[in-house]
Amino acid sequence: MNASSRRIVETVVLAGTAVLLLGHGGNIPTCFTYAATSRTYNVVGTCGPAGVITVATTPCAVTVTGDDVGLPSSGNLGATLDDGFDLYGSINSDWDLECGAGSASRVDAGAAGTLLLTCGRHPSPSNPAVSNDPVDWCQAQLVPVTPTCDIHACAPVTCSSQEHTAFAASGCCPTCVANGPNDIIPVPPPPVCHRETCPQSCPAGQEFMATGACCDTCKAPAQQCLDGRAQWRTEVQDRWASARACATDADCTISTVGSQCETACPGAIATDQIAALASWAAMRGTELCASCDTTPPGCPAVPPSRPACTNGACVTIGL
Amino acid sequence: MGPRAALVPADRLATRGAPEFFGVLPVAAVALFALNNFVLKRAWPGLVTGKLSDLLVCFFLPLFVSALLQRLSPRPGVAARVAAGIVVTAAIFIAVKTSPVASHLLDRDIALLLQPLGLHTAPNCVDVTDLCALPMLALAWLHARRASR
Repeated sequence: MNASSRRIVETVVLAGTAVLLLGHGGNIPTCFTYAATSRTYNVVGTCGPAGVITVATTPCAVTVTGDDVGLPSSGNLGATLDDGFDLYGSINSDWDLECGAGSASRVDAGAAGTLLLTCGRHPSPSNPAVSNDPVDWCQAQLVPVTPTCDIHACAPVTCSSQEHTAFAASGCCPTCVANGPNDIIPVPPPPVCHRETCPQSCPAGQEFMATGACCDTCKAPAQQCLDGRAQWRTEVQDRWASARACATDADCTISTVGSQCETACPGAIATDQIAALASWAAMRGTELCASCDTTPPGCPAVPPSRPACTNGACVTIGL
Repeated sequence: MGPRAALVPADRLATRGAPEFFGVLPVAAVALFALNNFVLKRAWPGLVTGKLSDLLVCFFLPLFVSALLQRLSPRPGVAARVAAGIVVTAAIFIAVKTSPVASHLLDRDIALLLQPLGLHTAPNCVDVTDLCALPMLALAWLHARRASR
């Protein structure tokens, strides 16, 4: 075997191993061995209005056309339609929808080819939500359309928000039934906070105030707050000056202290003085800045530096 | 002479590909891994088939990683590549076998990768006893040393 052929074989082995590792223990897809097909279903459930959809395979992807029954319009499948398929869509830009249809047991539904479908929502890639766990969204029953079973031949039904459509005990026409405790009913997802869209600065004289909403609001701080901050800043500077005593560089660090007034800009300080200064600064800030409900702008950016002990006092030295 | 010194330097192997992976033993391990996961586990679920995959993956995954690294850059020697493969395999294997969080992340990431292909994978099972497969990493090292001579 020449080098070129060997490289091709090795590439195939590498790719095959990668697929095996990713798909270990899963189902081997056989969809590509089947011809493209389509099937038309009557749909009822909690995802949307009752209607008729056509699911077509090509042969490993599926597309959904027909009435708007609240289901995504595309997806894929592993084998045949009767074995079930997946649909992928979105609720909005923050939430993706993933639906899985599988064959219903004959106890649940007598018609051959009937599928039960459940959908779940999970955060989209642009959603800053921490948890990616899916949340149940809706459920539907798909019964193949036949000459004797076609929702389009039935009287239209409109259900209230406390109801959803289901097939009547006899026949193929949908009827409204009350939502039960075990039914999966779509619940509007919680609002998503995109802080990157919030204002990044306030007009002159105003500062950000947290309100519990997604974005902070801008507000002019009270004069009493400004006076308290100035007093706090002066007192902290005085105390900080006496907290720099050192013998070696190892005695120093760069730290900061904060309080209800504001957070001081980082500076060099003796390591063993940090706790006492921070405690005092927090307590003094509570006394002086009780009226402060806004956050002052942060400290200006400074070049990288390190702490050092110079002439018995901690200082910062640029790197 | 230590095991690292026994492995052939990179310059001598630059034209030899990755013999540590493209050999009878590793490829047979991959084949048995596939057979076990897709056939044997379903036919005879239990301790033997359950642990067999762990033993096999701890043997061939370091060599597989080494072969991938060789494709990216033939410069590192076999020793460095296989050592990297062993570290990667051990880190991932220990994490997903002992931590539900790591296991969940692995399952989620694999599911996202396979979703466009319509494939599903079996979820990972957090099981500390699966760590009994870790000695296979040493076997992978010994095999790489022998294969690269």
